[in-house]
Amino acid sequence: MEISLDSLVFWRWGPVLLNATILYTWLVMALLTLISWLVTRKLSTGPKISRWQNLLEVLVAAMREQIRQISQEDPGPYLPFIGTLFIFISVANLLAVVPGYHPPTDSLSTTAALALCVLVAVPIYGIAQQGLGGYLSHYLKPTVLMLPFHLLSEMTRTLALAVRLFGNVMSGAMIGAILLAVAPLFFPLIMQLLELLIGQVQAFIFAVLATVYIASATQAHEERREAVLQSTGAKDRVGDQPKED
Amino acid sequence: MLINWFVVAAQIVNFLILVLLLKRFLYGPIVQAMAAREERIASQLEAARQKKEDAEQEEADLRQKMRSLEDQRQEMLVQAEGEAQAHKENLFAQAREEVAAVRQKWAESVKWQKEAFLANLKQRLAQEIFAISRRVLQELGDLEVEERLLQVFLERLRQLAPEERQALQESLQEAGGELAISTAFPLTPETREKITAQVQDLFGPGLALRFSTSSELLAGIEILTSSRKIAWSLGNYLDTLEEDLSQAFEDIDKSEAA
Repeated sequence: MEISLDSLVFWRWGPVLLNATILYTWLVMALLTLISWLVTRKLSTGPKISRWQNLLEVLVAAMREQIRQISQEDPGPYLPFIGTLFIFISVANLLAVVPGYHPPTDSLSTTAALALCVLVAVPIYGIAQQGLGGYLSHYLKPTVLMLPFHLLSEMTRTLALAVRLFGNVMSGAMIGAILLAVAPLFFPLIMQLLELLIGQVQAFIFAVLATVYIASATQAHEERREAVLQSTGAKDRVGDQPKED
Repeated sequence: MLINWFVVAAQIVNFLILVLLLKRFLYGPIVQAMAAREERIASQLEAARQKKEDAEQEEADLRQKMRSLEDQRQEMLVQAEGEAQAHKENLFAQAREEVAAVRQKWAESVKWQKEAFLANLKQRLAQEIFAISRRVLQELGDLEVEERLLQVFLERLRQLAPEERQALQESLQEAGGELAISTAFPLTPETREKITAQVQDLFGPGLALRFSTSSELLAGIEILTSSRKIAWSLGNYLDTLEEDLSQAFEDIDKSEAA
C-alpha cells in the first residue's frame, strides 16, 4: 500500500520528475480555471444572474465575509491567496469521490508547499501593511530576547499546518484501507463520507489559520497605531489645558 | 522520505500559478460584478431617494403654492366683498340722490302743476265771473238802461276836463272832423239827433257822425276819433275789473313765492 502519491512517478529527468501529485494538482488547477473561465466569461451585473455565477458569488462572498470577520480588515488583498488555499484544498479533497483520483493533499510535499506559502505570505503581507522596519520590529517585542521564540513560533506553526493537513487527509485513506480489511462491506462507505467531511473541515481550518497568521502580522501594526493615536490624543489633551486657563 | 523537495517546489509554483489564474478568472470578475451590482443598486436607491426627495420638495412647493393661492383667494374675496360693499353703498347713495332728485323734480312738477292749475283756475274763475256778469248785464241791459247810460255819458262829456276836451278837439281836426259813435243797441233817430246836437254843441258844427252797434260794450257808448276814444260802458268797467283782478292774483303769487 502506498503512503505517498509522490512515489508514483511517471517521468524523471535528473531531479526533475513528474509524479501523480503534480499531475492531480494540474488536474484540479485545470478544472478550477476552466469552470471559473466558463462562468466569468459572461457575467451579469443586472438583477438576473446564472446559477453558476450565483454559486461562485455565494462562495466568494462567504470567503470575503469570513476573512473580514477573522482579520477585521478589508478582505480585498487577502482574498486571492486565502481563497485559493481554501478552494484548492476543498476541491482537491472533494474530488476523492471520483474513482481513480487521489487528492494531492494526500502528499506531505503538497501540504508542506502550501504551508511554506503561508510562511512566506505572512511576512509579505506584514511588510506590505506596515513596512519592512515596522514588521521586523514586531519580532523584537517586548524585548530582543524574544526574537528566537518568535522565529521558533513561525517555524512550528508552519510545520503544524503542513502536518495537520497531510495527517488528516492521509489518515482518511489509511482508515479506509484498514477498515476495508476489517469490515469490507458497509463501513468503508461511511468512512468515505466522513473523509469528505474531514477534507472540507481541513480546507476551512487551513484557510482560517492562514488568515489568523496573516492578520496577526498586520494587526500588530494596527494596535501600535491605535496606541500612538491614544498617546497623541492624551498629549493633545494635556496641551489643551493651559490654553483653557 | 515523505517530502520530495522538488515536488514541494513544483507545488509552490503550481499554487502560485493557481492563485494568479483564479485571481484573473474568478475573484477579479466576480468581485467586480458584485461591486458593480452593489453600485447599481446603490445608485438606483440613491436615484429613488433623490426622486422621493424631489417629489417631497415638489409636494411641499405645491402645498405652499396652494396655500398662497388660498390666501390670495381669501384676500381677493375680502377685497371683492369690500369693493362690493363700497359699490353697494355707492349705488345706494346714488339711488338716494336720484330718488331725492326725482322727488325734488316731482315736487317741483307738482308745485308747478298746482300753480298752473291754480292759475288756470283763477283765470277760468275770472272768465266765468265775467262771462256771468256780462250775460247778466246783457240780459239786464235794454233800451231804457241804454238811454240812462247815454245821459250819464253826455253829462260826463259835458263835464270833461278842459285839457282833455282840447286833446279831443285836436284829434278831431286831424281826422278831418270824422267821429265814430258805437253803442250796444241801435239808437232811435231822436236819440241820435240828441247826441248829434250835444256833440256839435261841444265841438262845433260840421262834424260827420257815424253810428254803429257793438255787442262788446254790453251797455254804454263809445266815441272814437282816429287816435282817441271816450267810452262809458259796463264792458269797459268789467275790463278794468278784470285787469285789476289779474293784477291782484299776480301780487298774491309773488308774495307766495317769496
